[in-house]
Amino acid sequence: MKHKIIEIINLSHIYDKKTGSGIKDINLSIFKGEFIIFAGRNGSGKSTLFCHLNGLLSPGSGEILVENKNIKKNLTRTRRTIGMVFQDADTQIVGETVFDDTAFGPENLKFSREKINEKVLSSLDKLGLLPLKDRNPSTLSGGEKRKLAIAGILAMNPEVIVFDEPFSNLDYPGTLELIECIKDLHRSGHTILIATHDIEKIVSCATRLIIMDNGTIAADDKPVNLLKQLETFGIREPCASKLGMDINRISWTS
Amino acid sequence: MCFKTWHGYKPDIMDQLTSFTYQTGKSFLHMLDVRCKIFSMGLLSLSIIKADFASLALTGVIIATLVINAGIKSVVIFRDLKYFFILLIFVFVARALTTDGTPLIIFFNISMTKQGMIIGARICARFLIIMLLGMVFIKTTKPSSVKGAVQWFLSPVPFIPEKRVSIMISLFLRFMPFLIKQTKQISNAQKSRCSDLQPNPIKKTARLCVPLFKKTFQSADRLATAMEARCYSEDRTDPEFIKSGHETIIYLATLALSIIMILF
Repeated sequence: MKHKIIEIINLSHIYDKKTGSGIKDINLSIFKGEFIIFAGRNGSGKSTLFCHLNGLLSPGSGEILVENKNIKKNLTRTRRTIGMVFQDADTQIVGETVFDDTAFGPENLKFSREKINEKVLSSLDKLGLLPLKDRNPSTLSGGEKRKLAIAGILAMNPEVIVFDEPFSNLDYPGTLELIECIKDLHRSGHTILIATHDIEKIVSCATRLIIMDNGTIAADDKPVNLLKQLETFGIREPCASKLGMDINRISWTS
Repeated sequence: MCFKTWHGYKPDIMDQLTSFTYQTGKSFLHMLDVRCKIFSMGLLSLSIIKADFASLALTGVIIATLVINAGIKSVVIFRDLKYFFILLIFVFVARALTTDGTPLIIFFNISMTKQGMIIGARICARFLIIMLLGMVFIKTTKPSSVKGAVQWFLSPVPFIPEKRVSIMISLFLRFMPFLIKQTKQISNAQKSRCSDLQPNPIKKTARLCVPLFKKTFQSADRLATAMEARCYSEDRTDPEFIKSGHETIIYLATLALSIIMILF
């Protein structure tokens, strides 16, 4: 039986009552080891939902359970279980060196210095950033900065990793390397949630595709079953699907 | 695959910014406890105000030895301090021209005096040694260690939240390059729309500042959210200080050198 790690019950968060922007009545269960893409046009509510998963916003109504416990009961536990990688890596990096930035989370959790060093070195090693550990993050490339943001989260040992628009502002090699990195994280047992409006890059890895539209969940199924509906919701259909081919045959990850 | 290519990546702006920052190494100074370095640097910088040529020469030799030991190349020193050397020349000439005494060089009724040149040389030597001390300190000390030492020095001071101050220093150091980059981007975007044609410097500055402040506040907001997502708390693991075992000798040597500088 699948292990349910996150359960979202009737979650709503409205920013503006007049326009109705925000998210409405979201009900969702996320199971351990899943690789889920949250797709939708700008303003469809993907980032708002992700901020709720990390306890960064308070819901207007409804609740989120992580391991059957309301996330608000223990935010530190929630943030250790669900690590969030933001869209803009530049404003996520706080340390003066790659090592210091990766150590920021474990230091907040009051780990011992030995444990911090161990966690940081293992995270940097996993992401291939170990040779850069003394570098100033400002001197890193876009792809390296994104990987550093992931390393900072990995050092806190989360079960679920949430990526908000991870491929924005990344060049081709940076995107390829990030895709490999996300695939490795999934292979090593992490549950992966990705918000994106450009699903082509990662769709072949996903086990589930959730389409968000106007703050609600418009569709939730295996990616292959939803590809033909994508453009109805303002999301570009992958080339392979348009050509009537298997998405794994023409993909960024092949 | 692409990682190796990226390893050498350095945007132009960062080349300029990182020339006066920490460089990795395992020299005597790299290994020394940061608190000892700050204490020694502070005491020597204060004592040097009273130093004369003999003690300045002694301090200069000691610093030169430490610079060589730290693996800092003379080319790097000249490159990093080139504008400072121009300032020193200016100070020297100004002193030589404005101090009364025996004229040594006379040029078109302007004379440089012997006394002025001696005073100028002494001031320049003091400035240079203080600058070199700072440079050696920066090049051999990780910013995070400085932050830790500030936290340690501030911890006995009442009403000052030392951990908050320490994280503020950290964010300042982290965000300076980011802000410079943002300023340059906004300035370039405005130049591309002929902002150069605006003759009023106040209007020009205002047009640069408004989007810069907006971007800075937005970034600060995003940063605060990201820090919260990583469980930020002031109750954090304390900084670690690594001792090389030579700290006592350095404290004593600094005290001795300071006394020599004040007395001779």
